Amino acid sequence: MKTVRLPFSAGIIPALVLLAFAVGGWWIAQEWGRSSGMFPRFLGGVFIGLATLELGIHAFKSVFRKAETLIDSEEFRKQLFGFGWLGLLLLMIYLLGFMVTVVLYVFLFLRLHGRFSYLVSTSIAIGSVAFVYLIFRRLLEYSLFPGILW
Amino acid sequence: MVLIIALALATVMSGLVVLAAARFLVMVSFLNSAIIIPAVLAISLVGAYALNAHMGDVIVAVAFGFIGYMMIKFDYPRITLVIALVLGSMMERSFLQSMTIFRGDWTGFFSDTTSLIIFCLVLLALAFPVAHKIRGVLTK
Repeated sequence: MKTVRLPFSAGIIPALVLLAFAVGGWWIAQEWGRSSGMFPRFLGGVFIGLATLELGIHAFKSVFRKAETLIDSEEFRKQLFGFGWLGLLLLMIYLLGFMVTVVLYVFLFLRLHGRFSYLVSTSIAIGSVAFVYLIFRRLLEYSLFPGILW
Repeated sequence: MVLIIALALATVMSGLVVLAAARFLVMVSFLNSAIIIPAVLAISLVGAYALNAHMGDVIVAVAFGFIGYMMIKFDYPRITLVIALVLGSMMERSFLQSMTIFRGDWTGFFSDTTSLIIFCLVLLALAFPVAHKIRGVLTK
């Protein structure tokens, strides 16, 4: 098992993101009017305090308790692939629209990621798009995003 | 009244249907997750879009999926975020109503015994997990 060692507590990363969100939200709320910005400014202050505390705790762990983080490279690679598949789904929806994406994405995922046979992949893809068509188009009469390419 | 009876009947009927089909429905849990993932992902995003017919909702759904995954990875409770999202708008409305009643004076929140008690409870609810976390770091 190949691992990467980080010389700090991994909790620092989400704590920094939280603090950035808190400061960003509070900063944006400063430009809003007195009544509309009152609640966001108040909550932003509380949020900044708690996020700073969270960051402080993880910084303390890293510096004084010598906390480390081990990252499994294989696990990390799998996670990146997972996010890649999610990104591909979004891109396909934007380009091809929902109906085409559902059938194509389900087929591609099952065939390339799940390594299922053509028969199983095609059957489930057709079943999925039939479900979407029946429920969302026919019964609920929603108009789904057609995609920008058509 | 008719609506309430219909809702009650629907609940009973759906319970009966699920009980009758439970033997078959339980098989879903034995399915390979690779089969379920793409169909669930695609259909849930269709559902996110269908609500307002807006692509922004789809992006928000994906973003919250990412946030939820990261929260699991870094051991943050997800339920509190959901509660905040559900109750946030109500909380803001009540806050603004109170500030209007107090004519913009913050001290109005502490002038009543009930609100003072609730404020102290909120402070305790905030302080308790923080203190627990700090104690955990210091004693390790």
